[in-house]
Amino acid sequence: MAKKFSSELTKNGLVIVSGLALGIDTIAHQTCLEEGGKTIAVLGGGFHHIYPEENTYLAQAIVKNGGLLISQYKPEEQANTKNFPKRNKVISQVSQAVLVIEAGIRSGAKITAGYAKEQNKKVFVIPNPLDSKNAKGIQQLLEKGATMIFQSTQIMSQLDTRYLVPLTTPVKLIDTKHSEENKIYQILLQRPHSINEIIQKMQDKPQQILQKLSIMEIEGVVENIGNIYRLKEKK
Amino acid sequence: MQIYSICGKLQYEPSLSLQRPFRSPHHSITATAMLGGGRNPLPGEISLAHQGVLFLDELPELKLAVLEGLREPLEERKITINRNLISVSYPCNFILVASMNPCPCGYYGTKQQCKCTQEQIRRYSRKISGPIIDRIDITVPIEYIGYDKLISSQKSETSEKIQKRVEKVRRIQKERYKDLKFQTNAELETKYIEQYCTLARKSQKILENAYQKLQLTTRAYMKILKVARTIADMDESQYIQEQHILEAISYRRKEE
Ligand SMILES: [Zn+2]
Repeated sequence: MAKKFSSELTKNGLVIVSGLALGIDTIAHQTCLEEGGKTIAVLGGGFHHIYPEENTYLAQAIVKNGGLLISQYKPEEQANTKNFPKRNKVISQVSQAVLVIEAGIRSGAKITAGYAKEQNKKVFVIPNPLDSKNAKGIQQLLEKGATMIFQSTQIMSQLDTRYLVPLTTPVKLIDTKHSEENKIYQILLQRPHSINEIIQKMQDKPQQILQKLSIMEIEGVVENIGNIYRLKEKK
Repeated sequence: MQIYSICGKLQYEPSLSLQRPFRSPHHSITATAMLGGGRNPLPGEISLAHQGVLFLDELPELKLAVLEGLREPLEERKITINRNLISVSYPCNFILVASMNPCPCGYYGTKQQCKCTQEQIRRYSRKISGPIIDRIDITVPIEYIGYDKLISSQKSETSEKIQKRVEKVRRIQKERYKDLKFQTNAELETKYIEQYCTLARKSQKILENAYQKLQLTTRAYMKILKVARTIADMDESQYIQEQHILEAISYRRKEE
């Protein structure tokens, strides 16, 4: 869903703002760049410490394509999860409206939506399955006045068209290999996985995945403990 | 053929001498039976597996003396047995294939819940000492296959096709080493490695990086080069490319 909406909204000339985190944020930024749009990432730390590290390539691509990185912190300051609510506040501040794709009860997306409400910005949500862990969060947002939408045109019709930007050449993210590493990272975030499990979940050529895992191992992101890979703890 | 006639086994297993041997002794085997020995030193399983495959199931269950005894033969491809004043040497150029569980309960890293403690897992894998691990070229995980998967006709390469690929690569290697006294990358002696395992510039960089960051031993470094040479041969590539070296790195098993 993040990909679909990011793609359609970008094509309509919107600038996509997100938090550069792994997952939905990454998809939103990436898709926007791939459509030739401009995107803004609001950081939870200084410019010298892009967090998460895996998204350094993405941060660079965002700037290179006329987007922005915004930070409220000194360049040398480390990213800190304590900063993230404040980071989310800036996300809604620079935006015309907030679209919530997934909203766990205590998720960052909900925090952003809360600030948006305070700042009199529009909040949009999309339907989530009733039995998903997001259903409750979505319901709470609706009770606070969010608008449920089913397609991107419903968002476009409610925005100020003065802020639209023209599309530039789509970016083929040269580092699609990094987006694969990103996917592996997401998988390992849950728990350690055997190579076979990673291969099954990635649905890519085994050799290619093995090569990626070796790169990540050399870079110190993951470690291989007897054919089981896990994220390496940062010392 | 010769090994079998020494043992007097030829008469019982005549057909075996015509094809490459496949030996799979039980993990309770003694050092003498595995490595060779006795009053009139006879060849052990490793020599019976000469030019063939030695398969060891449940590797960590082997007696320590047996496991450690494999170091010399794996390195030298022959074993020397000293008994009183006699010293006998038997060839044992075999391919070692071994299996083990990821942990004592067998579920570590799978969907099922592993019940072992970190300490148990460490102790289990530590039974295979570093020097042995370093002598194993390739490790791959094999998972329990559920019934639903067994009956689902997943498309995998047929054995015939794989055999064709292996034969092709063997031919390439035989041709490359035609003036030398060995035929495969696995047997490549250290002094020839630089000459035959030529790296593309980028792969050189990756390997240097890996050597430092992953704290590889010299032996592991050489092993990765040889495995990468074989992967490059599968691609019919003269030089070892980036992707070959990266794949080879993933097959090594880290010593804990
Ligand atoms: Zn276990």
